[in-house]
Amino acid sequence: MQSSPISGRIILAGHPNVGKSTLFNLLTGKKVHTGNWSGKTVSVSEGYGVHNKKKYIIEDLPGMASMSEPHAEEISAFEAVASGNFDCLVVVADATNLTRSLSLALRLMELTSRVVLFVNMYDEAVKKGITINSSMLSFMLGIRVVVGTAHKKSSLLPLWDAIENVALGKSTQNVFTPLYNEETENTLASFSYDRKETIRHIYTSPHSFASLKAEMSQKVTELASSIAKVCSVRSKPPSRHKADKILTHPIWGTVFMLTVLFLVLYITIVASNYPSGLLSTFFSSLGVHVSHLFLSLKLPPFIAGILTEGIYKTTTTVISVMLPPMAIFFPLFAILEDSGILPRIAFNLDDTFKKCGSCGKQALTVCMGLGCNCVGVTNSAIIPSEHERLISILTNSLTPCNGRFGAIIACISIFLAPGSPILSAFIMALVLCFSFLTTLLASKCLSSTVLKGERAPFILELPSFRRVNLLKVTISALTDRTPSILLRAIMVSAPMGALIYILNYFNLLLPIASFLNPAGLFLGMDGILLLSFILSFPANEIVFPVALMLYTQSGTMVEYSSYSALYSILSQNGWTWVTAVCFIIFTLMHWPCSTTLLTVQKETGSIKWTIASLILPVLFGIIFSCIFNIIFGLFV
Amino acid sequence: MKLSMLNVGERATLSPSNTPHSLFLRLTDMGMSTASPIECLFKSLSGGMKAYLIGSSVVALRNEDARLIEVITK
Ligand SMILES: Nc1nc2c(ncn2[C@@H]2O[C@H](COP(=O)(O)OP(=O)(O)OP(=O)(O)O)[C@@H](O)[C@H]2O)c(=O)[nH]1
Ligand SMILES: [Mg+2]
Repeated sequence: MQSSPISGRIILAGHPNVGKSTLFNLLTGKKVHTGNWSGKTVSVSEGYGVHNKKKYIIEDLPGMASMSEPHAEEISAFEAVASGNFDCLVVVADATNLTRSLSLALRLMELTSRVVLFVNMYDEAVKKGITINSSMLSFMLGIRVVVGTAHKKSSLLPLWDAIENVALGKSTQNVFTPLYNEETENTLASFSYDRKETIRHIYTSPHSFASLKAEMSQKVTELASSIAKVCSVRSKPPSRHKADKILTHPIWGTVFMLTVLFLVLYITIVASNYPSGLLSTFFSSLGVHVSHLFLSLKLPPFIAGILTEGIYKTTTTVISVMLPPMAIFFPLFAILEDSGILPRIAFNLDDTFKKCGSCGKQALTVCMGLGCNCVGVTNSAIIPSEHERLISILTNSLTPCNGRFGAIIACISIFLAPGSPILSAFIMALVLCFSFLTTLLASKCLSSTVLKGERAPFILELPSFRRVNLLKVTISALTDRTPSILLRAIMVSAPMGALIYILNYFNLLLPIASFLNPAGLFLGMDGILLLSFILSFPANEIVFPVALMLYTQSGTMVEYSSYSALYSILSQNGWTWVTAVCFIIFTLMHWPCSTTLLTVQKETGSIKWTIASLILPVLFGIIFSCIFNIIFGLFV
Repeated sequence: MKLSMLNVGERATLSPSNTPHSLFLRLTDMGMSTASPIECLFKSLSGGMKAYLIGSSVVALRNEDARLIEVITK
């Protein structure tokens, strides 16, 4: 199919959070991330879809909340529509908020007649007692209208038919265009372009024509509202936002947020313990066969060592340490993301972030960072103000990503709360609260020094809650996110495993470790730990395994199966609870992993900010672990 | 009066006398118009933001920003 000619280009536009990416995934069979909050998609993604043996390019545009006062990604979406460089524009509408979707559709229809309206979220609408008369809608707008649900394959065929019809120009559409009041129409006519060019000119001139834009916008909303009234019936009164009143209550809201955090961690800790041990045992018994295999191949021992002791053991350790918490955390997190709870957290925390020179949306990027810092950095694009966005990017790695959870949880379970998962989860929650405070502190430092700026107005949409399809979300989080992140970790840890084996083989590691020892001791740790942090620059996941390998001098990774075995290894090497805490502090705050740094470079386009994002957490880590070591080192 | 002065549960309509500044423009694109009332739905945990029903969307604004919007109550 790859080489067959392209029959057309289809672009998907619409408000944020109406299901464009979900529809894109349905049309292309791809798996772009979706989430119940505005601005999940921040850059254009492209894919291919096939219908009637014809291949189409499909583009998923970022959501357009505003044409009159657009942000950067909205301008690019508008340009894509205004350029006319497509064969069919699918405007995705939200059946539960038809007026608003129609007002965008009406305005885009002023730019092109090659439009199909897909009224999405019909399942939600039905639950709310809303029915939509699609033929009436199609008649009034003069375009093809398909009503459906982007999660369901059954919506696919009618949509493709409509798209094909428009894209291949089988029939021309006589689209409805709004008529404004006399004054506005006169102003529009006074431009020296035709109507389309005039509209395009107005919306691509930021900060000009403000009154005209306001006038047109309100007029279109009125029109949209009357069309929506004629074409839809609501049989139940709208909801009264009961859940929101609880979530935003001064006491219950706080209790709820902390409980969710605790539960997510508790489930992650308890449920990942067992499979971790199981995987580790499995890999080590498999490892015996792997070694035998290499023996029988008569490879030189050095090479066989690199393959088994280096590559095989490193990657399998990383898998058994990383996979279970990830496989449990990501689905839990996806459920939070799809339900619509995250924007409420941003709403509640805005005051706090405002005091630190940022805004509530940073709470969203912090939450994303818990999964993976690269995602947190990329999603910082939802913050429109430039300096607030930079604050969010630079501080994101202070939030421990999932790859760092394993080591922190292990330290807690071995030294701070042996044998008690509840206490471990509680301490882990405290650790996250601490990392949250350091994020705030760093934001405050940045905003009052290098990243000073005007406070921008802050608008946050609170999407309606949706019941999450648990099974579907769990499966997609497991099959989509988990493998890609795991694969990245493996790709990085395999060569690192080989490198560490080689360095160790030539006895190069321990001298470096002893060279680093004074610095390590100063930070409450030792040279081996510091070296492990340096060696795991490509992937944070391997810090703990590398450290264990160096401690035991086994030249290979140590099995991770029992905490008591780990306790004896670590305490023989001088670990106390203070070492454990300093290690946790440094795990929270040191250099971001290489991938995150590359992402920062890509997002900011600046070496200066990339270096800043490297130095900031290192400074914090040095200061905090040093202080902790000086104060509490006296007690042990 | 200012939108920020609206208490939870109260409604108002948009005043025609607003100047079209950037916040105003974004909000009109989100469905704010003189034709439909605005209702204050609930406050954030510490009270710095309020959520409003604007058109048919729930939009949260900081009080200092909501001060920039003029509304009329009956
Ligand atoms: N119930 C229901 N949920 C849907 C439907 N389509 C999408 N969703 C959910 O709505 C949310 C938003 O979907 P996305 O596809 O991320 O929306 P988007 O338009 O790409 O949003 P932005 O990227 O923020 O502009 C997700 O949680 C989806 O799972 C649908 O037809 N029915
Ligand atoms: Mg999207």
